[in-house]
Amino acid sequence: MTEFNINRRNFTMGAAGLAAASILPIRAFANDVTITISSPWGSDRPFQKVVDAYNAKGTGVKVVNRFDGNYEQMATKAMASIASGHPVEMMITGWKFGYFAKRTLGARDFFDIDEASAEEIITQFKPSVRSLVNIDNALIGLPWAMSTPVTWINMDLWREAGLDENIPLDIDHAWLLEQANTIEKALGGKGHPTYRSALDLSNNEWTSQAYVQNAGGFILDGETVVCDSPAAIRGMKAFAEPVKSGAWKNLDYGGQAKAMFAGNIAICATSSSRASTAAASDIEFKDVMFPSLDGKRNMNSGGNFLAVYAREQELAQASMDFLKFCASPEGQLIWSEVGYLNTSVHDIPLQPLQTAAVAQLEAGLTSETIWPGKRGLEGQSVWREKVARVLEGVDTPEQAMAQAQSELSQLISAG
Amino acid sequence: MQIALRATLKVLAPYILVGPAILFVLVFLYAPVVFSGVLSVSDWNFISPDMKFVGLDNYRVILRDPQFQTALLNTVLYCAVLIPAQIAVPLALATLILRIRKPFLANAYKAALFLPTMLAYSTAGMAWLWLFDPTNGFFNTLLGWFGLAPSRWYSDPSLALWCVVIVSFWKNFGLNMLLFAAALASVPGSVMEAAKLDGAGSWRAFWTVELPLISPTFFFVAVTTTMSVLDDIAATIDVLTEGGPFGQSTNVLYYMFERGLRFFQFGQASASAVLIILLVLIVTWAQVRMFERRVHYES
Amino acid sequence: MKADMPGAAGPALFSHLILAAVALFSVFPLFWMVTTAFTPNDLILSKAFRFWPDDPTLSNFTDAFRRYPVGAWLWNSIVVAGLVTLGKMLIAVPAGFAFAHMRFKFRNVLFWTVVATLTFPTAIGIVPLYVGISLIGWYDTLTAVIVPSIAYIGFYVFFMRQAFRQLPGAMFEAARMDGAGPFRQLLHFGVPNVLSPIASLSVISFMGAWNIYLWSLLVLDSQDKQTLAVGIKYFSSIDDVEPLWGPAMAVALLSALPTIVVFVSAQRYVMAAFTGQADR
Repeated sequence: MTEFNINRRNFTMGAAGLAAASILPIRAFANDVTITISSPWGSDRPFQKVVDAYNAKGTGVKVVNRFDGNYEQMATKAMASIASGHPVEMMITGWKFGYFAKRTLGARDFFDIDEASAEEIITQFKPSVRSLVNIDNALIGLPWAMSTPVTWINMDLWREAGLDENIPLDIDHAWLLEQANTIEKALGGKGHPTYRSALDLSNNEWTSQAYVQNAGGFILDGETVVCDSPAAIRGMKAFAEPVKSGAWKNLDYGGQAKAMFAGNIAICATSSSRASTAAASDIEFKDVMFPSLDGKRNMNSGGNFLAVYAREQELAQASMDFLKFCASPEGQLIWSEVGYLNTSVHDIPLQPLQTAAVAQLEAGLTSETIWPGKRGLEGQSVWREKVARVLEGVDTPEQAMAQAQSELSQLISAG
Repeated sequence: MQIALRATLKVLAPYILVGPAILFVLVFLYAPVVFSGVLSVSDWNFISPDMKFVGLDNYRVILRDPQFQTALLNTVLYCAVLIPAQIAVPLALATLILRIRKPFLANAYKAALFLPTMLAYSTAGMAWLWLFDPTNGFFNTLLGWFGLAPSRWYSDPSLALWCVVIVSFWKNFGLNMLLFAAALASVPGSVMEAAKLDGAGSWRAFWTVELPLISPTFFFVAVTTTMSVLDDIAATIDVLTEGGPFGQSTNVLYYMFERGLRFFQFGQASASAVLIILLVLIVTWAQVRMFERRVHYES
Repeated sequence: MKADMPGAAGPALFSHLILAAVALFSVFPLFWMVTTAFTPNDLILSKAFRFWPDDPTLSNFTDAFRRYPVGAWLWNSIVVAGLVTLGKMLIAVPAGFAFAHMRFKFRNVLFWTVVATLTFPTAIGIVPLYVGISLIGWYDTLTAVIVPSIAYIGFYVFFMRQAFRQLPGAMFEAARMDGAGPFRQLLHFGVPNVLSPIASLSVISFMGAWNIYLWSLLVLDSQDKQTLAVGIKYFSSIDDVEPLWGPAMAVALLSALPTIVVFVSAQRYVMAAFTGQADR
């Protein structure tokens, strides 16, 4: 699990790459080439600006950003298109599906496509994140998007419940639960126009992992599943606690995102990458750190990489050209608006609402669960199912974690 | 020469006329079913070049999979609730509509009840997704008016399946109502008069005289409704719940879809396809047996 | 009309009450779809409840078109529904004619081979079909949706055979005497007399093809190749942004309108199709 650790020290390293990248070579392609990127962002999100800025350069490569749903939907679509022999040229893939991308989808090794470009691209990223995209000794992606779960507070609801506006940056699970119960008492059950749930810790694989780790456990140790350890179970118990008390009215993850930005949730623990949408929203959001458990934290990171699937050399080369732009200071500056933490060696100013994320980053982050083997997509689905069962009280944490242990082990041993 | 050609053409003519139909069903319906059988005893994910023969392993895996068991149980539940509901309620509504004397009103009712049938499943699903929205949906607003706490609807494991049931019922009952209304309207009034003269109450007359007369419609409705409950419901599930929460609203067809085309376990998907085919055969056979002696075909 | 049941005002009122309640259940989701489609999206999220917006807007439609190629989806849906219908008619009409009025070896076997497919769940062969479609390079084309969908002709062939059976055999006998070959018989004497069943089936087929969902979801990849039925799902799978219920309902309305128009203008034929089947 702790195969890599990011901290302040290695975060400032790797400046060597900067010199190499300051001037972006513009190579015109013989023919106009179109590259399609399958992404989780529609044309109204800042990623489109990166694409537009690149297209404006007129290199002969035209990049098209195509919204394909969330990571899971994208992976499914990619599988279907690759199997049929018509892969998209590039795809954004969650770090969690790194093995799946390499072993099942066949993401290309940058060094196989063009060694010089590969070198130029990867040296512009902090050494600590490089291992994330090094799968089976191949460099399969641009490790440009990192986030970590933080706590988003809807200040309008917070004030309405009469709570103190001076919220500490570093908060604890027990304290947060107390505030949530106060909010529920103040606003719940009266047909409030927007308020629906005091707290939402995200019904998914990621924040549950954070709780397991903050309790001192892990989901995976290397390729061994250890999610049934006493510590891990304790973490899951704490995670499900607010559902029992009624402070968290559990929704599916997609519904939660909608609810958060419709002003229905007072406290929402989820990705720091929601910063850009939160900043643009009419609702006043404040970001504080993810709740610690008994004062302890061993937070995970998450994110995505941009991988190349194009089989033809010309298309692959063209993709590399776009990646070079993405890695450059110019590209990274535009990219930073998406709301992720800066993983490059370039000096990029912080975006609004990133204080908590940076604080967690400085304390050190583990990787998210990178589901081993070919069947990573299923691995995640199993884990999510067990998490949901615990949250709904269908299974006890002990039962669910034991089940998860045996099912995940089977999937991993399948290759 | 030309006469010979003409003669050959004459012999071949029927085969030329039915040929395309045969070709299409063989290539696109029968062949895939046979190939499903082959895949169900193999381990293959399409991307990898190697395809292994694994015997009945895939069947063993899915039969032991709790998700498949839930899917199977849900399928039975969907059938047990929806098939009777989509026959009985439309039949009752049809008798009510036939009592409406004003043609304008009768037609207005018919049109209103039939309207949902014209929507695509995904469109219907989206409309209801919005009504059910746990945060801003109309139903929760409605609950609020009565001072009730909002529900999570499709996010609630104990309600998700019922949300699918409601949408599916809403989408389909109008068609069956129209079919029954048309069939009932074609029963000659004199027949019912005669039954009543014989001393049968209207309720008994309905059961013993009218219903048998419309039994072909009844049979047709039963068969098409069964198919739609097994089949079309998968689209509603995909839009509304994607089978969740944790598989609580999935059915066997959606399970197959997920195994095959979300996780690319072609062997497991095909094994469930084969099991579904067996299920359909059993249900169809049972229906045919049940109706065999009761369906009265008029000349 | 059949004889009425006993009782007068009481039961009539009772019927009206029940039917009105059911009609409300039927129509309300559609009304809500229309209301939402014309309400500005930020007003939808502000919780001031209203049944109808004070100032209806088309902004949801323009927003939907700006985000996605909705126009292309609409066109694709029309192409798919139109070609599937055409294909089904071109296949089912001759087959129905042959099964009704010609004698040939294996007639019954072939007939039941076609009609038995009525009981095939549409999704049953999708895994092998998907493999086949991909291997011949049809992935991400409308052809991949259209051609396999034509194969569901069990009901159509059965129905056309019934329709041709209604025509007197003597008519074709006479035509044969006059030297008309089987194809002439079909085109000149058969088809002109079954236009209304053909119309009925066309309407049903069009509405059915408009509906195709899981299969399209699977074989269509590019955004501009989607049909409305699958494209609409983009609106519910966006994470991390404010909900887009306004544009979603605008697209839902666009997707519902054509089938409603087709049905209303061809209601007579649809009814004939279903009731014809039911009575015979």
